[in-house]
Amino acid sequence: MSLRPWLFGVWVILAGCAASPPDIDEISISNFRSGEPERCRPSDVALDEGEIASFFKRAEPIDGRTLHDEYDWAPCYLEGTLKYRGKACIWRVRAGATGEIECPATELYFFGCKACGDLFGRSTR
Amino acid sequence: MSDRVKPRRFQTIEHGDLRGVSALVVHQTDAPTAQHTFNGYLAKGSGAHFLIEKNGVIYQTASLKKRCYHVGRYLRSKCLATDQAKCDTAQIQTIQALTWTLQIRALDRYERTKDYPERYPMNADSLGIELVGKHLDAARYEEVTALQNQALQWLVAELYGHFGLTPEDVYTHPQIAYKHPGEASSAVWQ
Repeated sequence: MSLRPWLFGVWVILAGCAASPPDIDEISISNFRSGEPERCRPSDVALDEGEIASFFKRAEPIDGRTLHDEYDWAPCYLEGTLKYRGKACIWRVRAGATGEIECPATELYFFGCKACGDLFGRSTR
Repeated sequence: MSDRVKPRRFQTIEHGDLRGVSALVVHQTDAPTAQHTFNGYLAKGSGAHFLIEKNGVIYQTASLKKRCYHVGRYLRSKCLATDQAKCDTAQIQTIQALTWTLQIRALDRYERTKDYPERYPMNADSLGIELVGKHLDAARYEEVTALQNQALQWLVAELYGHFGLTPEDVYTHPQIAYKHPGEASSAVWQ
């Protein structure tokens, strides 16, 4: 009996795991904050819970150096709570299409999304 | 440069010639050691001219005649940050009506029409100095060590003399570009 179909099945399962979206659930929004309220405003991160989920699904996990080199640090953000890998955590999504998930007793996770332009600052004022 | 500076040049982070040196920009690496940053320099295009290890050892990592990509994509507005009377009011009002992502692009284009010191320094007219130190969380980087600050003060004084600079020509990275506000916030150069 050939092992090939069996190996292909294992590969499909593993590939499916690797490509699955982040394990995020129970998103709720609590605050908008801005360090430069004249320039970075609520309309720059006017996302609802579904769009926050979409952001984290489309964003890629990045390290601090990539965040620094390839993204702009926006002074305003939305924040709230969610469940990440089963733990209750705090999230922030910034107007520069970056995000953070901070869970108790674990590292801070960074996310960046280069294909999320449609979610941020959709209207001029 | 002095014997105090160890040469460790990476041509991988040099990108053409510098126009001149009008300013210095102080950064932090988000890496635990100098070697981590050197490994990154072998593979990546961005970097700075000097790197100061936690024990105060200074490395020169690029030629002072060459441009490094250390500033980032978009310049902040110096007139908005320091003296709004120097800004073109109509232009700034138009820009500030835009969304944040469009604002930072428009402000960058506006700032690049000016000469230094009317604007913040760019890659083409500044040197970058990296201090080894990790990004800790959403608000903080590691504290710059006392030995790093001593070395930074010595290096900056040497560069003042060499390029005719003053303390007003030294900036931290988040002052001039849209970067984590904790980066180099504990650096002291005077």
